[in-house]
Amino acid sequence: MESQPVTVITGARKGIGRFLANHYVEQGHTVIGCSRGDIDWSLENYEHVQLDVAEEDSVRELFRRIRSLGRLDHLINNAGIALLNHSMLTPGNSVSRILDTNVLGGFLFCREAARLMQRRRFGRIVNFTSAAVPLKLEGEAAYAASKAAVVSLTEVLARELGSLGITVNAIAPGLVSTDLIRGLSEEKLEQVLARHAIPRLATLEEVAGVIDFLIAPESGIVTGQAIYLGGP
Amino acid sequence: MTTVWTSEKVFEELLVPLVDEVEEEVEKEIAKESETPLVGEGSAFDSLAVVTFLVAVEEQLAAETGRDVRLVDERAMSSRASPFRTLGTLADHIVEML
Repeated sequence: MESQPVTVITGARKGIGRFLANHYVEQGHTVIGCSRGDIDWSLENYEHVQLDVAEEDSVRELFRRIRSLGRLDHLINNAGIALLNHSMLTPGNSVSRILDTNVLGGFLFCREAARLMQRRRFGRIVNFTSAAVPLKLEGEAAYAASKAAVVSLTEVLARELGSLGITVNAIAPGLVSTDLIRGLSEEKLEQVLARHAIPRLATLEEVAGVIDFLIAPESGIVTGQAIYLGGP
Repeated sequence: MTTVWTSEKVFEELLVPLVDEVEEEVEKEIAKESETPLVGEGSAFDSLAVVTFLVAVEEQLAAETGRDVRLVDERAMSSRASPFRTLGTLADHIVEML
């Protein structure tokens, strides 16, 4: 009997990541989630690992454990941090922290996942970008730059990994009611929403719907794409 | 007893079986000699085959030695004489890393 699909989700402690962990466990996947902090919840067929996604040794250790499961089907690279600050008032180490988590962390997970996925010539990687890129949001220079880098990473990896049966796509989940947008004032939120074709918050189910499509076995020819919810 | 990995042992026991697999993948015969080029002019490996070959070598090393060795590091990349020139230089490089 074929073992159940294995899905790795970064930033799984709360928000979109936690919702997706639950969603894919319900679909019969074995889910490995990670975050810097510990979780106060548990799920059957779910294992949580505490780590910083930008720490290379910890990431390699995690994937050594995943290797013992015999397969890796999906990587959902959801971990990310935001920063709302004018560029003239942004400390350099805040920028480094954002780049470390959003770009370096994303890269390390893609690299380690691809090494496992290529053995079965099958894999689906979904990275998280942001509407801050096409909207060029003021006050989010470092965050938008990091998420633009995620799009470039996605596009190049799609080409590098395509012939190995691995697709790499990105989703910009739009504005979803999570901690990430808690720093936005009501006024700023309205302004940002007004720049979307569908000016409302996205639901977690809508985010999961797009990821379901991207990781489906039938989506083997969909790669190198960035899908922006809400139409920014 | 700890296994002593010499260049010859790495070449014969680790690299040659994996080159056999690459031959199937690239559908070309590859000479199992230490002078056989891995990258650059005269290599039978296409660029993707080199990458998947090196990943397979690392995995086999992990299986045989229990060590998570990465063959490509900054020192290897900046070295004037690349350790990835031929199967023989790769075998020497592996012994150095072990």
